[in-house]
Amino acid sequence: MINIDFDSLEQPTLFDSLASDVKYLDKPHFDLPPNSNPGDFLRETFAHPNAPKPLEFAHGTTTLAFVYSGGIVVAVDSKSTQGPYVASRSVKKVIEITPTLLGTMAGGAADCSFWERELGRRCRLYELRNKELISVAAASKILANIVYSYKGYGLSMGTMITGWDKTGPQLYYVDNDGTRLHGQRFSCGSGSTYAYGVLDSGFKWEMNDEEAYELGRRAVYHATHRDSYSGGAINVYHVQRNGWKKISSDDCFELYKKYYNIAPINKPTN
Amino acid sequence: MARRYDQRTTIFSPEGRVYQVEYAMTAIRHAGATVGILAKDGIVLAAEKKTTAKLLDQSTTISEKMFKIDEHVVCAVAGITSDANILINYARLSSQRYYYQYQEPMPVEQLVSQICDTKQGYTQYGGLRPFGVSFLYAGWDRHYGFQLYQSDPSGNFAGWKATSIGGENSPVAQSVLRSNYKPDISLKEALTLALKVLTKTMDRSNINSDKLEFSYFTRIGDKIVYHILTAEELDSFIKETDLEPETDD
Amino acid sequence: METLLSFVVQGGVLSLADSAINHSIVKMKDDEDKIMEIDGNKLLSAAGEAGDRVQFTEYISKNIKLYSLRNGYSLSTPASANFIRNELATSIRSHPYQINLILAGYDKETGPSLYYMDYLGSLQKLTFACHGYSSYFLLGLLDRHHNVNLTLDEGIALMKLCTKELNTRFLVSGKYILKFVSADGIKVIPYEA
Repeated sequence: MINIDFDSLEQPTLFDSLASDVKYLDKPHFDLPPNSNPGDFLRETFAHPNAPKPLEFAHGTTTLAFVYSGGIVVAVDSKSTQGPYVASRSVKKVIEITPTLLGTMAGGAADCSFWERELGRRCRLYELRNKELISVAAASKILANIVYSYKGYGLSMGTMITGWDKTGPQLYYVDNDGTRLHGQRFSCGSGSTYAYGVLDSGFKWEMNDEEAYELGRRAVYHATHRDSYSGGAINVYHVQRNGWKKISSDDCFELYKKYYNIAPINKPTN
Repeated sequence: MARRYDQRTTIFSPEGRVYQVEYAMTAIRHAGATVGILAKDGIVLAAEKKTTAKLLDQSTTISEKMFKIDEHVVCAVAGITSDANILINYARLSSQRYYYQYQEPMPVEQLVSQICDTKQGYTQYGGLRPFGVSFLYAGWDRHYGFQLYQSDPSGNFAGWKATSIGGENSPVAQSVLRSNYKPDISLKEALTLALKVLTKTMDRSNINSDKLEFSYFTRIGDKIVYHILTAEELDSFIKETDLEPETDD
Repeated sequence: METLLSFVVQGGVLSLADSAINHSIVKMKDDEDKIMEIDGNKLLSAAGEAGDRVQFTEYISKNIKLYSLRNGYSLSTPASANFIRNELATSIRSHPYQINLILAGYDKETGPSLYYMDYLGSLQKLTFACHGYSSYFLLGLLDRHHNVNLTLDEGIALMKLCTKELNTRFLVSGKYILKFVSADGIKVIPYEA
């Protein structure tokens, strides 16, 4: 008799997650930030003379997107910092605006996620009203007009809006001073200069998809290596004719080991 | 019957009419006739004066029915003069505003259309009476040269080669213009034609400078000149042309 | 560090603008067209605060388009210049557009004309005009070499002389876009600095 393993077909049920929670019920357990008092910690951190303005999350960032023969690759890091404090190492900096549009997050995380979500709402409304998908040009213009109307009010966003419409794969850069640029290669955030170095030197129009993913991943990886405000995991997305697809999510440290395959320098070598 | 539908400016009667606007047009018929003729080298505006009381001091006003809007536009009025004054004030303001914004004289049709938008507003927004005036506008601009427009209380306007407003005998005026207008008419001929029209619509016996007002636009060199005929000029003009209609008839 | 340069030649006006978009030390783009074409007979070059350039020139061009749609004829170059100046002057007290402009145009009646405007709302009719740090290098050069009777070819040669000087002495260098407006409309002239 042939043994077939059906386990992989089983969807996790509500009971499964309950069961995993129950495991921890025997000892007191509650997820908390790794501080005795998060409120005090934040107050102290932001009171420091060199501290950044309060509530400026995800300021250090590396995001990039580029167009090539197979579509558009979007690659981002996932670190969120508030000054010297690493708030998170698992931020989703690629924002899924609609099933066909992607945006990236740099600057204020709240600003980016709020306004790109609002953009998603407007794009969906456009689709319902006009019975066709919005073009990337129009979508990015909506966002640019919104942020321009708030110019000087302190919004902080640097974002790439990408998608594949009737005119093919399209890439726009939009930021909080109202700039909206159409282009082939953009990078944004504190690590962008490092990423540009890798991206510009390694870019070819003709690439297979794997080469393109690796170029995007590499570019962000090298940026995380030099820019202490970038790091965590590197997420790679691919914009294809029928919408985007998430390709990979790799921890930088794993990539470090893979790319360099050397022992950490502080480990004694006998 | 109509009573129910003529109280408000904004309501159609069941026959699809707006009575207040029609009444305003009737009011205009009581005014003296005003004639405008577009010639190849200028425009003539001529009008019949109705207020000719003996004791009226006419030295203070240059003109009763002709108003200069700007250096390049004038208009002639038929209807309630006090209503007209409001619109003329607005027209002058519009023209200067345009000049302020573009440092160029306002094209004539834009000016006419803007005043007509105001007139139209009073046929649609409730509680107010429409303007009881028709205008003839004569003007020049670099786009269309000399132009003549007519507007009525409904806010309608159109460009004309020759037309008249006001007067009980306007069908007569229109038919005289229709049968005597030539496409390449000169300013001089146009002045004569205007006089002919007015003599046909008015009481023939007292055609003189007390009863008439004549003015014209013409081009001298590259300057556009507007001139209102003085009493003496007008009387001598009437004198030298008076015989013609007699022989024609 | 943006450059706008225009001058009148025989039968038309030449307009040149750099094509770079810079953010702090990063060159975001090197093929941006900063010379907007209006009505087929006007060139509006603009440079200044990011965001303001596109928003303002689009606002202006749409309004001039609206004028021609409403009236059946388009706004002349001098009228457009005064209109733009007016918009700048009225906005400076409330929501300033921090951009400097050059308007070049060709009208049937009056021929080529050139207007210099700044963000404060000043307006000057000139035969050559320049905005940005480049003007420190180019105004002297143009005082020396420019006259309105230059042919188109001589005009292009003078443009080359200008960008050559910028590449020699000016800290920043980059690519440019050159356009020509004349009785025949607007032409983009392929340009290698």
